[in-house]
Amino acid sequence: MAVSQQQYLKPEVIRTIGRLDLKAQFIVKGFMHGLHASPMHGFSVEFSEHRRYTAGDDPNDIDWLIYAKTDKYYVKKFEAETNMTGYLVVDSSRSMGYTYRQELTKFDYAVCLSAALAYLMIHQQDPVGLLTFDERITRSITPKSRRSQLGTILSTLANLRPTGSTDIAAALAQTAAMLRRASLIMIFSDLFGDQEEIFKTLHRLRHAGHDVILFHILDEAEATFPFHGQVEFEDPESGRKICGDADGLRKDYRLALDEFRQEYRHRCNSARIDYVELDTSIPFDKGLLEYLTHRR
Amino acid sequence: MTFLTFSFFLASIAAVSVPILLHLLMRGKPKKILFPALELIRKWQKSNRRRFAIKHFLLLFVRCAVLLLFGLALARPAFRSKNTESSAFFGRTGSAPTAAVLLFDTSVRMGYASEGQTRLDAAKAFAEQIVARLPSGSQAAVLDSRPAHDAFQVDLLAAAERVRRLEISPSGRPVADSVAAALRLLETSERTRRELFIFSDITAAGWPQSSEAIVHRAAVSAERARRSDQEPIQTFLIDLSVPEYQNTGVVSMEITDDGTGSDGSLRLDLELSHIGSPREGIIELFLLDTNAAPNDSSEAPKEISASAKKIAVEPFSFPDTAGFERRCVTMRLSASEIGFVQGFVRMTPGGSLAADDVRWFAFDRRPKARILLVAPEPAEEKTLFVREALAPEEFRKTGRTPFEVETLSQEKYLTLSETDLAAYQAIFFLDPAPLSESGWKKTADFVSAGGGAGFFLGRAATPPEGFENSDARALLGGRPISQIRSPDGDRPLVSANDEHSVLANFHTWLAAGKIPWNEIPVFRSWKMERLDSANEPILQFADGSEALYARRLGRGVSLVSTTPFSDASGSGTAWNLLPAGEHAWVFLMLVDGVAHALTTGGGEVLNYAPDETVTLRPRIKIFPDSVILTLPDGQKVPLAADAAERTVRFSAADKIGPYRVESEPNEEGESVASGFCVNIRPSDLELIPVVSERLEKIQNELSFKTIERVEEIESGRSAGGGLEIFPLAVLLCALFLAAETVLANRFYD
Repeated sequence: MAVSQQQYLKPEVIRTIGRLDLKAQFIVKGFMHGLHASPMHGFSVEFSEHRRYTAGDDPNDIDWLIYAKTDKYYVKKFEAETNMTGYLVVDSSRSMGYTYRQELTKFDYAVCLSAALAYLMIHQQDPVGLLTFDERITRSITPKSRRSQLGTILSTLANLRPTGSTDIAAALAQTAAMLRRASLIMIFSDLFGDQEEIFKTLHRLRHAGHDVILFHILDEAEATFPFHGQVEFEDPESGRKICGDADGLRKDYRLALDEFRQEYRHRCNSARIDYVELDTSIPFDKGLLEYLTHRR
Repeated sequence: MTFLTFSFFLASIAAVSVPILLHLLMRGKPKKILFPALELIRKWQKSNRRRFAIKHFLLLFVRCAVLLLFGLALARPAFRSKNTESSAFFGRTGSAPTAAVLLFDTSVRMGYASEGQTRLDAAKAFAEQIVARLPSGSQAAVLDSRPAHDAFQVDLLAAAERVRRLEISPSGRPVADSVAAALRLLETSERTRRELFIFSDITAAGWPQSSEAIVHRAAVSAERARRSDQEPIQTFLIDLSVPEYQNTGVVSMEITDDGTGSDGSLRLDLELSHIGSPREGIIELFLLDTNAAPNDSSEAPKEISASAKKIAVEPFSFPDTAGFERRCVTMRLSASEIGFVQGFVRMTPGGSLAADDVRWFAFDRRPKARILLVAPEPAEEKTLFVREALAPEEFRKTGRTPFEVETLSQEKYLTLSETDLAAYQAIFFLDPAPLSESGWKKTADFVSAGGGAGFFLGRAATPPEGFENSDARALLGGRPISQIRSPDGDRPLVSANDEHSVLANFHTWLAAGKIPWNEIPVFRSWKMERLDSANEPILQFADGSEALYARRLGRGVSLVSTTPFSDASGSGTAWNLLPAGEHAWVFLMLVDGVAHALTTGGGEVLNYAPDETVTLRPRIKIFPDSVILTLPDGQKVPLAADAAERTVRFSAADKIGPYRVESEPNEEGESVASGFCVNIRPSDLELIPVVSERLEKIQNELSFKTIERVEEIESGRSAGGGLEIFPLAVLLCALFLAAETVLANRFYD
């Protein structure tokens, strides 16, 4: 069972599940099972006092040590440490709809991951909201911690399609302007845009007191460049084309990608932004773990 | 640069077009792929395009080079370099395929044995080493003294086998005469290096004085090599001479029926030759039993003693001589051996040169022929020259003449009966007047019955109409129609057929061009009206008109001379100066030849040199269509006989020894029982080294290097004598192939 649950961390397995809520649930449970911890306890909720057991309480909360001493049922009383408001900021531009040979597009991957995080946060009673953007914010859901909020978010994500060109910096600037309270902002994007402008807005978010986790999602082909021979590359957003020898370009491309990522890594580190490198062949646990580590 | 198989190189050049075509055709449209991270590759686009072009060009170049080098290797290229050092950089010099002609002197002199080995055996051993050392892809030709179709052997193995099978050849030309042919053959080769190896004992007989052909051919070869930018042909002379010859042999023999013997015996004059340490021995004279079947007598004359009868023995001795010493020995064959005889003389013990230990002879001794000389009165005066030529008075007194000659006036001749005429073998009509009808008929019948008649027309042959008789025409083959005058005597005689038996005495002089025809003026002759083409020209005038010719009539022969043999020079009106001029010896030999031709039915020579055309005229009434020729080795060969000309001819007598000619008995019980012998030419037996001046001259003409050991060939070659780059081409091909694999894997990983 354990093994089968962890299978849900793999993008190719998750793709076979039709409903997004189930996808999120399976991802989170598979992830938590791997950590040997309950998804509902131990991280965002801490023990405060004991009280008498009443009907409706979860029998799992019964403190059996007290029962042994007093022969009465007491349950542990938990309370949230803090309430962290989280925003899932998902890039829905056309470039995110790209995949070369994987089961999930970058957008699918981002949706699954953000759905899983939403599921996790709701179950930790953290309010979570959703922002989607291309050249600007296209959808916005206000953060709430109610269980119904998960349905709202997942429904929105499920109906989302990657279209239009992208302007990440503008979208993030708009986000910074929208948010009044310090929040945890989780950005899902391939980050193909003006790097300087993007950093400016990221710094702006940080200056506004937000915590930022930047999920840099690439397609597996964008990470490995598996092409051969004479190839005409076409940008799906701009329609621009470049012709070249893929074998000859591979080394240069990988070098350029490393520099690109290194730049983000270095500057995010300077700005105390969590930068998570992902591609569509990597299991989802990497992204979730990053979140939970940050949440602690 | 030269190629062993240039076609392979051409094919590789054609094959190079394949990768080029593929390169052009496979340039098709690139694959279209959506790729959002375009920004990351945009800045590399230019350099990538440049590198792509360079790498494809590099790969194309490597692939073309592989094909080209592969074809180049198969074509077996070789190039010449005059720079030894640069040649050595690539490998061993002289490794290029070579065209080699191995020219052997296979004359009988090469049979000289020294240290248990003949000169030819030594040459073969040397040549086998040369052939074994020829680089792969070389071609070789093996030539000997015999004229033959000169061509390169199929391969080196065939050449080595040909060397092993070389034999002494008693016939053939001097080795020097084959040099031009060898050079000509080498000129046809396209090998980088062309070499001529001459194996010779360097004797004077092998290198005669006249060598214009060699000089001319050497010059042509050098010029052609220069024009075609080829290496000049290199010539090596392998010296097989012996420092000090030791030999004694019988170099020549003459057999004559001179009538000087009291018992009517034949006389054999032998010429012995000696060089070296003192020698004593005996000469044995053997007669073959002509009824016994011949054995392989030319190869081992000692073993035929059983079928041969020893007739005489003559001792000989020679003192120690530094140079050659010659001595004549006379032996006699008694009268009891009258008729056709074959035999040999043998020197015992034999010398170092086996070829001159034995000498063969054949002789057909017949009773003295009776010749009737007929002339108008005064007959004695008009027949003087011919009579003295046939039977000199001094000899007549002692009975030593080969012919019995009688003189008769033309008037008395007409009174002779046919029975009287039958006692003669030949009639000479010297300056005859036209005969009567009965006279012509009688003469024609005489000839038809096997006699010989000679007509030496002169001033008495008038009127020409007197020759219109049918018998006259049959005898003369035409009739005189007019006289041709040349007061300055500028119509010299020339030979029209060197092989005719009438000119048999002239063979040696004819071959050397030493008959002084120009100095024997003929002022007047008859122009003959030709009746048919049966006349056999013997001599003609410089203007082409007939001077002396023969024709067959029945079983006999008639000869016609259009100028007389009887004119005295003192008269002032002589038709020619044949009998009385400065060169009267020509007249004597000519008369002798005519007499033999008329008395023997055309003349017969029974002793020949190798490759001379043998002509036999067996005396038999009903001539056979074919005869059986038994060669010296016992092999029997059917031979067609010319019944019309009553001759048997054989032109391939290249074996030394006795030949027998026989036929089945005809209706009258007669059969041919004749033969002949073939001996080595005396000049071919002379072990006289070429004089140093002559050798220097030959060396200048041919620019050869004299070598004694095979190792000297390498050092004797001129620098850069050809270098094969096959190994280099293969190495480069392998390197380029490896480079192609590495590059292709690297580019298309």
